[in-house]
Amino acid sequence: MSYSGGGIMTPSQDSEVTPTRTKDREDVALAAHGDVRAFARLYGAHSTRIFNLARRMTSSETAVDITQDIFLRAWEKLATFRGESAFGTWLHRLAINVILARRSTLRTEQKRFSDEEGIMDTLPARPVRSDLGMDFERAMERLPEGAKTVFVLYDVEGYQHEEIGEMLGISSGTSKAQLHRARMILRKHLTR
Amino acid sequence: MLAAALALLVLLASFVPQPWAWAACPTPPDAARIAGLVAAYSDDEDHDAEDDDEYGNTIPQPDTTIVVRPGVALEIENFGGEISVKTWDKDAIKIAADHSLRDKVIIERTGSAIRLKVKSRRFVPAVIRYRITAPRWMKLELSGVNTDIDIEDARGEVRAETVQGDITLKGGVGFASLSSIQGEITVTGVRGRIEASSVNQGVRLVNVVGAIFAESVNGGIVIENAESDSVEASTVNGPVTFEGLVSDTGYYRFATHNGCIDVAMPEKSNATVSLSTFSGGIDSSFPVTLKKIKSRRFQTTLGSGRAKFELESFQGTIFLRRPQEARQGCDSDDEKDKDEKDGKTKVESGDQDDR
Amino acid sequence: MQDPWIERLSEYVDEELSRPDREALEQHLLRCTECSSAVEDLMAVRERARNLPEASVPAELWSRIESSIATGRLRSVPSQEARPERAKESGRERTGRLSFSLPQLVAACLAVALLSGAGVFALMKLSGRASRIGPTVAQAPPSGAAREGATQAQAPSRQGAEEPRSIAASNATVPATGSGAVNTTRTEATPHEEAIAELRKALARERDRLDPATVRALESNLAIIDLAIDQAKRALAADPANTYVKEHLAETMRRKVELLQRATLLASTANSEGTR
Repeated sequence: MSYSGGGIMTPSQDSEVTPTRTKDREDVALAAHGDVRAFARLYGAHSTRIFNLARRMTSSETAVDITQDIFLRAWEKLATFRGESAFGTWLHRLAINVILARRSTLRTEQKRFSDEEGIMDTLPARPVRSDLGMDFERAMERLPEGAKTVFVLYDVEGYQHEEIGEMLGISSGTSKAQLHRARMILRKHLTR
Repeated sequence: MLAAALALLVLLASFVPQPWAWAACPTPPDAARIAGLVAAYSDDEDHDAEDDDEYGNTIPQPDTTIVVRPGVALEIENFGGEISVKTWDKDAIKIAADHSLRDKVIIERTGSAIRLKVKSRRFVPAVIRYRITAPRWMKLELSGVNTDIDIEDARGEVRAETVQGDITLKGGVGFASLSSIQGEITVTGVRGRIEASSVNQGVRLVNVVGAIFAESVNGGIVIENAESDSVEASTVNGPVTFEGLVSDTGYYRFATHNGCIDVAMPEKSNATVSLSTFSGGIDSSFPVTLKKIKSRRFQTTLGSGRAKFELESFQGTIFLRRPQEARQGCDSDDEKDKDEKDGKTKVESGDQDDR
Repeated sequence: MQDPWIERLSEYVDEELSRPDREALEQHLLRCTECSSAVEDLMAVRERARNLPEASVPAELWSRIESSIATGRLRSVPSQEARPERAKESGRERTGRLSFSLPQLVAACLAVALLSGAGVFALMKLSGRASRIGPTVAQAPPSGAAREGATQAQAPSRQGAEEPRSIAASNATVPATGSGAVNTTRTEATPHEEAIAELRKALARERDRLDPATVRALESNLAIIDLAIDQAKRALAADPANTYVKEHLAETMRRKVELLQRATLLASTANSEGTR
């Protein structure tokens, strides 16, 4: 991958390029026994990544709340973390679950991933600032939910279609289609 | 163990066809450039799958020539080495790169740019020496970390940036923005707007026609033989010198904190020159009047006084002289003031005239 | 679009096509400019996705979490002896992608843009004051050094005077405390100092990514500017009505902000390609 992540790049591979944060294991053990300071260190190491995942998969407005939920859930579930994967990987998966669960359940799963056009949120108007590439990020935020989810998980976070299908309960074919859909929408917002 | 690996590598290297041998391959036709974007690597038996990066981009060989249509820009991101760009009249770009076998140059083509990137083996920064001949009209966006950049006769917009590497721009027309942290910037014989900035080294502009913006922190600014109606040159630690034409409608500002300023002003100029210092001195060939006692701002007016000059040195000496007069001090290496000069109006710190 | 190949272009770009499909598509690409253009765009979109800026987490989030833990579901297990403070190390090991705060950089850019330029310089000279220019600044929460968990950025809540806050990456609700008219006698120092403090923090987090020679050069140049600022400040103290010194101080502080900004940008982009 052309970018480096904080201990996790593609959760489906071991990150051989950046060193695994071995301190995580110790802190996890401590935190699982109630050591809040250890948990604070884990928070310190992973919160930026989780926050940005939440932000990209939902929106800036809800990202803080969701990140809080994620870490609270992580705190509760720490005892169940068996250490088979890296803590970051586990946390990432947990985050995705929290994010998906929190999203609107008004529409059925099926509909969310359908091909019907534009289930677009209306966002409050913001001043336009294209010089920093905000067009692209704003366009990301406006993607239809299913396309956005897959796009973030595949192109931003680096999961594979099989994993995404597993997480979202869809086929990998649907995942591919949603990814393509997202990219085709976003191509209009490449600033250059 | 390591020695064995190296030996094996050397052995292998002797079997792998050298990159320049691939130059014998025909240049890909323009229509097939898209296919080149995602290489059909399996067709090339010599091509180890491992050599492709994960995007499957074409790995070009040295001396690749690509036809380009006007409007396409060149973008290079380099780590170490050199980027040298010359220009020609063709609508094609010739790319040659010298580099170790372990590094790869990747050419990406988007609709609006040709992008050269480096792929190096893990953790070893790549050193690439690019030799490029580009269309004269081509916009250049070049950046490198430890890269020297040399550009000659470019007529399109130029942006060059390095961390540690000198930037040299010679000849050419148009807008240029050159910036470095540790490198020296040199511009000669250019017509256009120049923005040049170094942090730790100096900036030198010779024979420039056009607006100049030059900045440094720990380096001097030297402007020679300029023909400009807008010059701003400032540094924190270093001298600023200027020689050039004075346009009646021009604005010229030279500022430093710790260093001298030397400006050569033809007698027939029409300029109002304001000289400010806190604890430095003023050494002027023209009579100056103390305009503001409190802020130690001196002023002198030549001719109709239309052009505006601001010379400011916090604690160095400001020299204002006629071009034919020799510099009294304030050479790029020499910031020491010369104390005694006859026939010159001199104001030393501590000298307060009540006018 | 009727072209059936278009739907498969992402798979092609991701190398998910079988070999016969791929070859067929490539043949098609030679004839279909729409498709080729789409391929280029898809790659560009993918590239953008991989290089998105990271927003930083608002600083107060940890305390919310902490208090929820404390007041909410407390585990009824004995807590072990806490390990010694290792906040610094954890910050360094967190080699996140571009964890520099974009809002901070933008705010500092705004501050610099507002405070620089010959036009502004002239404005300052004409009016003798810079009260119009001071951005409304929010007080950053006290340094989180004492807080282990929050090694991230402080609340990125700055406002440019001219432009409304358009970067919505942060949900910090820290209120802006600046008033419209900044005290004119200390005008030039205050907005710069805020920008400098923010950038300093950001740079401290990122500087490990730069090579040591560059760091040294940047630090020594910052020291050069600091010395100049110091000398100018003392001069101004000795001679408060000196407009040249006042302006010179403002300009020197602006140079510092610019250098810090440049350094931080450099550091934050240092890892985006893996070759720096």
